Amino acid sequence: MDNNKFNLIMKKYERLIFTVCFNFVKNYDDAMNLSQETFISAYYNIEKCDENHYKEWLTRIAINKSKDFLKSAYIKKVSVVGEDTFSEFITEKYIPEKEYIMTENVNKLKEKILNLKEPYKFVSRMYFLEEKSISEISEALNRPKKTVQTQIQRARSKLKNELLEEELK
Amino acid sequence: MMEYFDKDGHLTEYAFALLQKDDTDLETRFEISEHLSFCDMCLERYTAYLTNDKLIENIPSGISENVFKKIKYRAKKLLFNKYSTVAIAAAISLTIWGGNTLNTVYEFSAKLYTADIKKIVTEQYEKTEKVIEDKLEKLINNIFDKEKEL
Repeated sequence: MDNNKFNLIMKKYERLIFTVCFNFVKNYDDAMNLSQETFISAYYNIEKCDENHYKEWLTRIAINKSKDFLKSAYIKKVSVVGEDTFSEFITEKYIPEKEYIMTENVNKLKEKILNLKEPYKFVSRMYFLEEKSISEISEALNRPKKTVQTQIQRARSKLKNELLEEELK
Repeated sequence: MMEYFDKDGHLTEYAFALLQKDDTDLETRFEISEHLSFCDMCLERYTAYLTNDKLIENIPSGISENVFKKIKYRAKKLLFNKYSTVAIAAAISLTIWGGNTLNTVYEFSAKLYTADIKKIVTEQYEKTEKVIEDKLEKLINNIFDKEKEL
């Protein structure tokens, strides 16, 4: 595709792409940079896209760029916890004292998992309660494996924070 | 409170409306972007939702000009990285082995022995870098200027 034709495509969709980027990042300069990055990526791959689908394709690129941008901001804001997050709620220190306290904590945890909202509801139930693998969950919910993994991590973090808040009360 | 995911795990119209608001929190925006990055159905619905009246009126100018500038710059950088390594190695080899080989080797060894190695390599690198950069600048400008003429 020659540069003139690509320039026309940019002129046609620049308002859309800028709006998409700004809706996610809420900053003019960042949205400007991400819009440019969107069109640069599109420039190198435009032959792969059917021209009837340019709008959705460009929007998807813009969303991916915005998502990656937000991800780094989100990770800085929220701490991600490790594998044994729930061990302090279901550990041996509770067993010698009173077994029913341990059972109580497990039930509490189950209840919290069942009450989680999307996008964590299904992944949490399948992973924590049904003990399905990441691959199985990814296939069942039609979500990329990486997305399933990060959603499980965030669900863990949410559950831990909720349980800790209750313990402190 | 309205939900931005429905019972099937897809985005609601409320989610799209939330994106238009200035005070939607980071986590919500991130979760929505994550879903749109893999769900074709919601992407199509979101694209259809963004009618002309919902697009920002006064966008910054110069997006397309900046895009072409960046593409040009990256093309130059890519070509330079690709050929400079080979060119510099060849230039240094020629310096050592061209002309009166033995004397050159002795001279070069003496230089290395007495002088700062980094300084010698840097000088040679900078000379070759300038020559290559000038030639690439001309080549890339020619390509983009010819396109404008068409």
